[in-house]
Amino acid sequence: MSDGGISAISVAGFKKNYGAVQAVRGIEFGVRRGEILALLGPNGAGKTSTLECIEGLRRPDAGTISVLGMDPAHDAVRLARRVGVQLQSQGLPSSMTVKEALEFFSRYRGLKPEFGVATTLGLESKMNAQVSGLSVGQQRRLALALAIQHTPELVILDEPTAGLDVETRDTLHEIMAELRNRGTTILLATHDMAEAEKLADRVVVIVEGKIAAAGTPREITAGGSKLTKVSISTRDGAVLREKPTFNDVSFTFDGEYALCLTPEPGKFVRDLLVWVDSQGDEIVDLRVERPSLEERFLEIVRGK
Amino acid sequence: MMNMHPFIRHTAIEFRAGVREKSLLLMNYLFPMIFFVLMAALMGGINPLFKETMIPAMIVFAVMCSYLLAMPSSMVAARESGLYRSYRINGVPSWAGMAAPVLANAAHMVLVSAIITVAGVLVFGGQAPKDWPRFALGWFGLVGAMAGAGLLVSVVATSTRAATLLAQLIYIPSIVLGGLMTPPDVLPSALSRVAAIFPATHAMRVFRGGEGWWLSALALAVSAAAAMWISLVLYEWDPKNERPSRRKILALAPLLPFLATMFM
Repeated sequence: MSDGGISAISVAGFKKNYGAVQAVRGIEFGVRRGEILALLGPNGAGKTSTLECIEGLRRPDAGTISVLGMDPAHDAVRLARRVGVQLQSQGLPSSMTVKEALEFFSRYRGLKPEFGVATTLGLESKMNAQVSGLSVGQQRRLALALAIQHTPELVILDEPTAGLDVETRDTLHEIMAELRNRGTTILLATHDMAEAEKLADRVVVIVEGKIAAAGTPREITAGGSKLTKVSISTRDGAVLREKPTFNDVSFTFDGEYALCLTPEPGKFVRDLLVWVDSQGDEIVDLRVERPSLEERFLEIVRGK
Repeated sequence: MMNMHPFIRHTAIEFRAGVREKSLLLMNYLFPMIFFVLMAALMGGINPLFKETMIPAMIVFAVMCSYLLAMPSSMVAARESGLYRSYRINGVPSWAGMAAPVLANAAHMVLVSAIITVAGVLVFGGQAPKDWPRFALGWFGLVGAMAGAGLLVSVVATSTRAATLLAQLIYIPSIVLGGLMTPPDVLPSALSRVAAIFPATHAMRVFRGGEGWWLSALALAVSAAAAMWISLVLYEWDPKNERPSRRKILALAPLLPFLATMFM
């Protein structure tokens, strides 16, 4: 399973059962150092079981998991210095203040607390507030602060933006992008497809305990049956007037725009440009919209 | 607190929670102190012999309230809330998650015991301990054994309700049979044998002195050590983690030293 340290996380032949229920049925994937890998899947797909075994909170029933070259089930204390984890539901002592929580966990890691991260996450005015007095969003931000305050090599985030307002979500996205730019590896489990599409270098889709798709967001979306939408507007309206025909392309018209659906956007756009030129017309606006990750994800989940 | 060792900091935070959180404050201080005042005022008048054992009996009562009624529920609730999962991912060792509340409660019990001892002698005319080293030994044995029992309840119980029920299985018989309210020699011999499996009975024997008190002190120490070790073995980060229930049988092992005293 050794890959010379290229992978921050290696999962091989991993299975997890709960009684008679097979939550994860033998999956295999790796997270390369310095990348953001998004783990996607519907509820009950096995994402959280996979994450919890990677985090060392549970033991696999079969297969092996390696995190930074260590076994998370046995090296939890050593890994805690190098890995930051934000859990989906994370308990903290209710009578502890934000400042105390940052200090408490960093000291257990043998490090000095980094209070600046609280400012970055908008918690500076809450430093002396008890955890029990924080809103859900503030508690999630604190959990994220605890996960990243020691500048770990690897950050594991389980639905970090669930239930957060738009502004905070944007801030978190900026932080994740900045972490990646600094070389931090991020494993992100999320239900937010736009988030995965925006941030992830690669995506792994788990359905019913098995990997149903894996690749870059572009590779994933390109593999579906959905058509790419091309919108075009020209100076003299040649497309609207002449209504040209191209193989496998359907046209609809909306005001000054012709809306075309095609399975081969590259070839179609080339042909279209040639055709517009041959008509002595000139393009005013041209937009190409690939199917979204969300559309492709739904196809995968529905087994198409 | 800046350069404090993390475990000392952890214990300090647990100590403060024992005062800040209402349910813990109630069980660590208010309930045992109110019970002490009522018992000292009422029983002292009804039964003059009670004054001889009032101080150790009320200390045993307070320690049981803290370690059996307050600590297990609090620890199970912490596990259910995901606090131990946070400990795991943030590098807090499992022994620290258990030892910090034990030591914090011990600090509370030092304060409560001191108040009971001073007020018992000065206000209610209770008998002061005659042999202070034996009294201290009894106190440590009592705290150790009750902490061990409380930890075992915490790790074995699957919910706060189960923790309360399990704790009551030790708490109520200890009060009735442990020699807190009545001298142990008034119990029928069958009940005396049953009483011998409870740590409170042995703590009272050490506090009272007399023949074989050291055997009870030894039983308390061995039981405390066994209970704490077994608690570490059975400790789980997550309430959903599968632990074969047959391993929970181990939790009965700390009773063996007490059973052994019946034959010695």
